[in-house]
Amino acid sequence: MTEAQESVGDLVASEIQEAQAINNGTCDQRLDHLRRAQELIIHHDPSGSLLDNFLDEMLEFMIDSDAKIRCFVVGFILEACKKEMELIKKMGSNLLFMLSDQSQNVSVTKKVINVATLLYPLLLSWMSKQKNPDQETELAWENFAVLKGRVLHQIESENEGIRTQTFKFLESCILAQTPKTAQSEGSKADSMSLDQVPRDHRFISYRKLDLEAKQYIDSLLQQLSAAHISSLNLLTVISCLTNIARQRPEYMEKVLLAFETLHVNLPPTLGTSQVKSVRKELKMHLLRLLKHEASSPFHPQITTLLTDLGASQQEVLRALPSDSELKRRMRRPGESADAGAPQRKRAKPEEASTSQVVVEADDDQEDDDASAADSETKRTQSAIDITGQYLYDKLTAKNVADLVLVSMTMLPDEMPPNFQSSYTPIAAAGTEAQIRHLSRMMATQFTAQGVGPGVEQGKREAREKYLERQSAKMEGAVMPPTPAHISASSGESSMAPPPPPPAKPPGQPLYGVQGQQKASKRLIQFGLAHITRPMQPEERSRMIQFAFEHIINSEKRALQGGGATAHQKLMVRLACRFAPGPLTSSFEDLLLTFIMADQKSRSDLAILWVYETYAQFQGFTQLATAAEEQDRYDRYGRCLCRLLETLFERGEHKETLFHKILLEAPHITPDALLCLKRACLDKVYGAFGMTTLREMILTRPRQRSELLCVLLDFSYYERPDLKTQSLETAKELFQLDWIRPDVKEFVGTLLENVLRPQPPPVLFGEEQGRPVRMMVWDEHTIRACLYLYLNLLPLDHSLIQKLAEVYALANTEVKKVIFRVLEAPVKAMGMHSEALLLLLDNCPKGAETLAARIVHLLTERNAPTKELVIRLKNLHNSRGTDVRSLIPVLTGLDKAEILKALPKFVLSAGMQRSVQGVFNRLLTGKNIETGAPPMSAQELMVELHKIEPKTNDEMKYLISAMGLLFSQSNTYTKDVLAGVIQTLLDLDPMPTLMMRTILQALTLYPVLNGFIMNVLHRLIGKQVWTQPKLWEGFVKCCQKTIPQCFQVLLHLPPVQLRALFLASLAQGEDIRRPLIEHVRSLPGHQQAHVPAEILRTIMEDPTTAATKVEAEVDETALEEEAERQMVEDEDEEEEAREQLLLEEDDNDDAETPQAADEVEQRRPVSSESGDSPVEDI
Amino acid sequence: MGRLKLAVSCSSNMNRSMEAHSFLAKKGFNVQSFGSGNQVKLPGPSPDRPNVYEFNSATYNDIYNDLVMKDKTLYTQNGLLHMLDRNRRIKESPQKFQTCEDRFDVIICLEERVYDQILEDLQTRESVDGQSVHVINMDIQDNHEEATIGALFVCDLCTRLEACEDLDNEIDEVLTDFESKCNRNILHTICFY
Repeated sequence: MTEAQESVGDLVASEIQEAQAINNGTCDQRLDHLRRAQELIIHHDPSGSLLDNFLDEMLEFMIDSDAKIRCFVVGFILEACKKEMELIKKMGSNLLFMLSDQSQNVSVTKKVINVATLLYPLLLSWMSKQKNPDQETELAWENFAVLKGRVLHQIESENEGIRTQTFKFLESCILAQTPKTAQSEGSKADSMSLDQVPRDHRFISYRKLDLEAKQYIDSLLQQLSAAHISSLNLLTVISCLTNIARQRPEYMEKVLLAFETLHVNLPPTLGTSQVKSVRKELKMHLLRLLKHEASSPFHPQITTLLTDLGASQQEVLRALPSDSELKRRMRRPGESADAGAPQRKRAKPEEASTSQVVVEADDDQEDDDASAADSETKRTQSAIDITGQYLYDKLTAKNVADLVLVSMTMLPDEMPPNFQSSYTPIAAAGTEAQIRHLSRMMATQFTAQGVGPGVEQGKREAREKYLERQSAKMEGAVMPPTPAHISASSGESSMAPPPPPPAKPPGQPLYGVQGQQKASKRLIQFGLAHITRPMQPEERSRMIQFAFEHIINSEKRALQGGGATAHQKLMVRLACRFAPGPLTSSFEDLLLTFIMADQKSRSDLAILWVYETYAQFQGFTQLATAAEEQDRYDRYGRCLCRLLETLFERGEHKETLFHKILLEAPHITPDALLCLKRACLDKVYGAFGMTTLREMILTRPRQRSELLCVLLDFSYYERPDLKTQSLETAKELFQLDWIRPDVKEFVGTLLENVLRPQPPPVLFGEEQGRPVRMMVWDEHTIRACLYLYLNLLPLDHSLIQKLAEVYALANTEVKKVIFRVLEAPVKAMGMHSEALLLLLDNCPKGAETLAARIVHLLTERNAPTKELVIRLKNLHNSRGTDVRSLIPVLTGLDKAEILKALPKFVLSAGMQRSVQGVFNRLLTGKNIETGAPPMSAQELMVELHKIEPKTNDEMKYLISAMGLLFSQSNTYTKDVLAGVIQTLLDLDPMPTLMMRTILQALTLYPVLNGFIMNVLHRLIGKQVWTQPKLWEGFVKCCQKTIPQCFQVLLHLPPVQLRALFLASLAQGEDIRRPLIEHVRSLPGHQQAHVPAEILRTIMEDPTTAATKVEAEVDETALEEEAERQMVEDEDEEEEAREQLLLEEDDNDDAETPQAADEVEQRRPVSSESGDSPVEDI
Repeated sequence: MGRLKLAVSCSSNMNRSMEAHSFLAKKGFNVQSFGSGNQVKLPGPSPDRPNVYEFNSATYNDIYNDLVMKDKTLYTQNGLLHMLDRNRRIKESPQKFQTCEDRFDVIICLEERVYDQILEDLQTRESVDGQSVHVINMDIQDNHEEATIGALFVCDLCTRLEACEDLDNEIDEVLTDFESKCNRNILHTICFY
């Protein structure tokens, strides 16, 4: 290394260091340093070693934060490559990196494209010169191909500057990838062209490059016809195309044609001055082309175009090459100077044949495409030529005049600005050249619209070619895909032909006539955007609908192709994801119909639909348009209900799908629930609905209470099947711990309904079986409310408490119904139920009767348990309940208690009907402890006698109670009665009714006569006459027992005897005479035993002896009378009081069901035991 | 976007372009001025006898002296001397655009003929590196008053252009705006070095 080199190296190093060091300085300073370093590296180092040494340091600036520095680095890469092309291997990727600049800086991107533009020809040139390229070179080439692709993408960039640079890049690529010809001009001698690429290069394909170039040109040409191109881009493209035309004259014709089209179809977006600029640009470029030697075949076209663009004759003439030069050119082989349409027409078959050859020679697909595209352009051209010629023949003076007249009506009211700015007076109107030009312009428009003989011919040819291809395909030849343009043109032909363009008056520039038609009139290459027009909304929605129908109808194919799921998803999403509107709803209708058409096999689709809407509602999937949560929910609900309702209406609620939807839907809306309810109400298939409902209750914890309500609601329906099903299901669910509370709550609420003054409206309705709303409770409605509760009672005894509470508050009607329906559940509970006992312990106030009723029901057939007895006793004692409540547990009471209660039964008017039952229990029941009847028959009778009635009524009741006993001749045999009488005799004082009983016994059992005589004897001993009632009975008894009683009478004291005579005499019976007879008939010794005083009494007439006796008797009788009077007064008082109480009791009784029952029943108490006063349920 | 490199050009680089040059330079723009004609032409004693000088060779000072020598009163009266005096304080001599090697971002022409000439020149130059340049035309009549007004417009335009974030992308819009504001016909194209 020489010293000079070393010092340069030092300089570079120091410059770079400074550039790195300046952190806070302006970037211009740093740029200066870098520029100096670059200068030194590139230009002051012949050896090139510095470049190697400092390359990495320089490239480090590539990630500098300043865009200018980065731009500089890009520039440096270019310079470095220019100096040493090998480096592209290293730096190609750097360029790629910079293109996708991290900060998206436009200037850097532009710089990279710019550098690529310059670098590409150099690179291609260098590559093609490599004799034995190594792997790295090939890699570099591939790298650059990637870069190229990326750059070409930028043609779609948003940024105008980037697009502009991209166009330049295209130009550079085209120039480098097309062969130079002898007529090429304007470029440096050493500039790159395709002919420098060797055909046998290892990795660069000549053909591929050639094809690429053709595509690039097409894409540039396409830019000219893009309606939205900006003026800046348009200018750039024009300049690029001119450059290409000048340097590659083979494209001259294409370019000129494009300019021609552009001239009459300037983009509508351009402003007035922009139009002017573009026209100026076109003019200048055309003038330059005019000078080009290869342009001579096109001079007529160019000059007419120039005239239209406003160029003066002089300008044109100045640009035209001199005659001598022209002549020189004409001598050249190839095309003649005045080559017009006919020549080009002739050229066409040649072209076709060459492209044919190409196809045969090379089966490369792109090649075929490109040649097809090429011939496409040719065809358009020739079509214009043919039509032009056709029109030229037609443009006679008469026709033209007609055309002008016709088109006058179409003239716009105001002159369009485009026309105003571009109109130039026609210099040579009516001349041959002008007519030709006009016909050509018109032909251009015709062709663009696809009419005219030229187009017809083109189409014919295209069709032939297409058919040829098809037949080749049929024969099995592997063909590249049909190029788009063919199908497009055939597609066009199948459409209705657009209306012919309005004819133009001669000389009038075509594009200025009608602004609105301008876009469609432009001659363009095929592009979907150009041949389509916006559809009418109705048409559009119709098409969309058709498309949707088509999708739907392709189910079979989707199935065959294994895309069933995708197909379903597609349908569902199309139907759901767009905002609701007429279109969407028609989609939904279609989808629904589709599902219903074969709901068995499309159930998945239905479920998918439901899920999709639900996912939208939850926000799991995005809608095309945002919607409120409520809307989304409504949509979900609608989808669900429509499916269900439609199924229901079709009578398919018995099908699986109906239930599947309900079971699988993520959420059941109230409306859906209604559907289910309706399904449950179905007379035939309701059970299916019930089963589903039950499943849902089990599997949907979140909606359990709603669902339960539906189920349990059925329990108060009139229809028995519904009721039963509801009940059965409820019972089943009630067994489950996690559902029970809900059920309990529901039945509780239902039960509480009966406390309302009126039945709630829910009970009424067609469905419920009670179509008319009633304003008062009746048995049916009450029963409806109680039904479920009572049926659940055996399952959960604790419910009884609630029932009791409600009962306590309820009115009589309800109470009555409860009484009636209570039997079955209570019996099912049994008397050992804890809850029952608890109820007796804590009986709510007012529910005592219920408690009593329950106990009664329980003890009807079974002896009460001790616990029951105790509790009921307590209840009775603490609340003072009706004594009747004790009847069931009489067998559980001890004797004292029974005796205490007994008078209450026997003496009360209200109890008379219970008396028989009480006696039955006492006599036949078994004491729960001893197992013996609580009382023996004798005991009972005796106890009855012990009762002391205070009033006549009570006496009456007591007598009738005894009568009940007497009537039971099985129980009360003569022995029993004798026992009773015996016992009674021992009592002191003797019961009032004793004599009555004796008389009764005598009547029932006459055999007891002897026994009774003894009794009478004993009575005399007990001075029976001291008790008037008994004495009365005694007298009666004696009367009855004549003559047996004579023996007894003889033992009476004379006073009493006389009184007896009198008393019997008063009753119309004379005992004395038979007695006299009896005494006289007595044997003598017996007569002797008769005391004389008695005899005397017998013998004397009692009426005569009366005075004496009466005085005695009267005295006592008076006293007694007075006494009795007093007692009676008291009794009356007592009676009145009792009467009052009874009335109260009666009132109470009226409210108690039992009383009511009794009223209702009105049947005689039978002697049969065990008959309850309350009707069985 | 940094400062733009501007060029203003009229036919002779005397009146309109120099007025704009002087105005823009005072405002701190990076500006150069040019003529695009073949020669520098100044009004003479009669329309058919103009004073003609060669570009680049004749300095403003030379021309000034020449005119003083020829007819000081006339040229003082019609303001030529005053103009030349101003010009010689701005730069040495009239420059012809076609001979200038410098690169610009924007070239502003002040007459359509000048625009044509400059385009002709730019488009026929040998292409070097593809750097783009915007060429804009704004018609200004060749007299003192119009030149002064024109300079104001040019300055306004340049201010707008420099305010652009991305000139290539926004120039169409800026020009459309400007055109409607100044009510003058604007031509615009892009060329590549």
